[in-house]
Amino acid sequence: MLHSSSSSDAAPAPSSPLPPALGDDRNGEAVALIAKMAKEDGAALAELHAMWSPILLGIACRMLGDRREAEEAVQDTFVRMWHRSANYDPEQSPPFVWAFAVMRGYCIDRLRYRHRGKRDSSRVVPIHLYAPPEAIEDPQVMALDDWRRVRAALDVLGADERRCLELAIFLEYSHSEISEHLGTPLGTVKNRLRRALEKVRNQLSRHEF
Amino acid sequence: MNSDPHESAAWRIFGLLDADEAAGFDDAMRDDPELKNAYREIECLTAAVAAATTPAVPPRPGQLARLQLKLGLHPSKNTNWLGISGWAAAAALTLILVFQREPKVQNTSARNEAPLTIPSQPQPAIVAPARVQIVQPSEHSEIQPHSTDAPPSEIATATPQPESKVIVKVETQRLIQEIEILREKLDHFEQQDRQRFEPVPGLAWPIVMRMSPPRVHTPESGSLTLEKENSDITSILGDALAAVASGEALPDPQVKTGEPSAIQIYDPASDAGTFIVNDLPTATEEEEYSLFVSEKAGGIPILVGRLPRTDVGRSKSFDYALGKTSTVPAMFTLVRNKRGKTEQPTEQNTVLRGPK
Repeated sequence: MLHSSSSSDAAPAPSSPLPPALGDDRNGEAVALIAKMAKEDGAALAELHAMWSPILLGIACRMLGDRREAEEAVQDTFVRMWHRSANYDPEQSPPFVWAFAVMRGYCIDRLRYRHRGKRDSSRVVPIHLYAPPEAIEDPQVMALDDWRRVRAALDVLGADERRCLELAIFLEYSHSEISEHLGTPLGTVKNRLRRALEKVRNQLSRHEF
Repeated sequence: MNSDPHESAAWRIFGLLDADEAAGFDDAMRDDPELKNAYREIECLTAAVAAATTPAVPPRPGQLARLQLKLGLHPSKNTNWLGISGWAAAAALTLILVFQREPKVQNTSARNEAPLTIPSQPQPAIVAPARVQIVQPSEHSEIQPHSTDAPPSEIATATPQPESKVIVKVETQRLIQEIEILREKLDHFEQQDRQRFEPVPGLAWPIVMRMSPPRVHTPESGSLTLEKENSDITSILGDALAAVASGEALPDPQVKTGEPSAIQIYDPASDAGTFIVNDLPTATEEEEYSLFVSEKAGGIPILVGRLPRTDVGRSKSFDYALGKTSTVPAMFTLVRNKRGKTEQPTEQNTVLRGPK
């Protein structure tokens, strides 16, 4: 579950663009490793694996609800990254965002294949206990101030908004599936998702560290 | 499609658009930089939210090797120091002996320059020990044609000089020491491997702990010792695993029907835990449940995480990780506190505690 706070009713600030640094590879280490990987450098692959496989495995476990399947997903993610590394363009997306997008796509394919259109949320429900922040924040995944910015932004969300956002991000639930899952009218779900996104974006854009 | 580019991008990334809408969005994004930027922004936000709300799970040993195998890469291998050391020592000893012997032929004070030149006259004074003759028979036969056929009297006169003997001895000792050091290094690497491979997930027994409300605890009631007396560990484990499979918590004989109870199943080798809770009262809007772990008996409880606000009903299971392997938890505590204000466990807010 995401952290909650009493400020969940805070009015969203006027819309403004996100700081471009969110999720950026500030020291260029990951970009350099991907470039080496494109030249078939196995050591670079090993280094990236050490950097990102724990967090990717955590996310895959959360999405798929099964450790063995999640391990397969992470393996296949690195295989895809290896083959696509030559086409990676850091201007298009930061390195971790790229890795996450590859893995999320893979997990969603698996979810769709497994459930043939109807996903079973009960397998994912177990992954909802979160470690304390200090156990999560990893500077090799995101800069520490980015972690704090995102956490602070999520703190402003109400419990229902967070739940909608979680279901959309981790399970790729449709509006109607979220509605069915939460027992909430479809219009309410759409509004909650819209409001959640707006709040997070606004919080991210106005937080300065 | 929506007029707000960020909203459209979010719906596209979250998979909320149908196939036609998604194709329309992708087409529009090619020509609209604003839409493209919005898409990137939401993509970054999604990755950041996912990472910031998910604990890392350390991969099991051998995952990288599997990956390298899939990609046809050769996993890095440890150097076989033991295999190399014998050959290295033999080669080094041979070279040193040759270096020691040759200078005597030309100049006893310049040992290092000698190997480059072969003396024109045989020098009986530098007859080497028999094993050296075996190592380099051709060279030796050229230099010392009489060494093997010489009468005993000549051999006696051809004894190596004491200085050469001492140097050879010192070098041999040095090589022996080097071999010892290499062997120690090898033992160290083997020890490291053993340490790395010892906690094999799947083979290690998980820890099974029973949790119950504080008031039903007698000094012995929750302890594994007593549980072992009541039913052996195999039955506890078997029941607990069956409970996991069926999604139901193991009924605690100490707890009355309808009262909350729970089972913790934790594997320290893989840092994978399952918390099966039974008959937990539904938290109100302003409340939530938090799980704490103490690594030592009487130690400070550390927050593991918060339960989502779900109706647990008869039974529900939650998976978790403590963030590090090889930790053997001493006690788990489930507390009920105000939402967003996690408090340390007290007698008042503790709902379940175990095993002691």
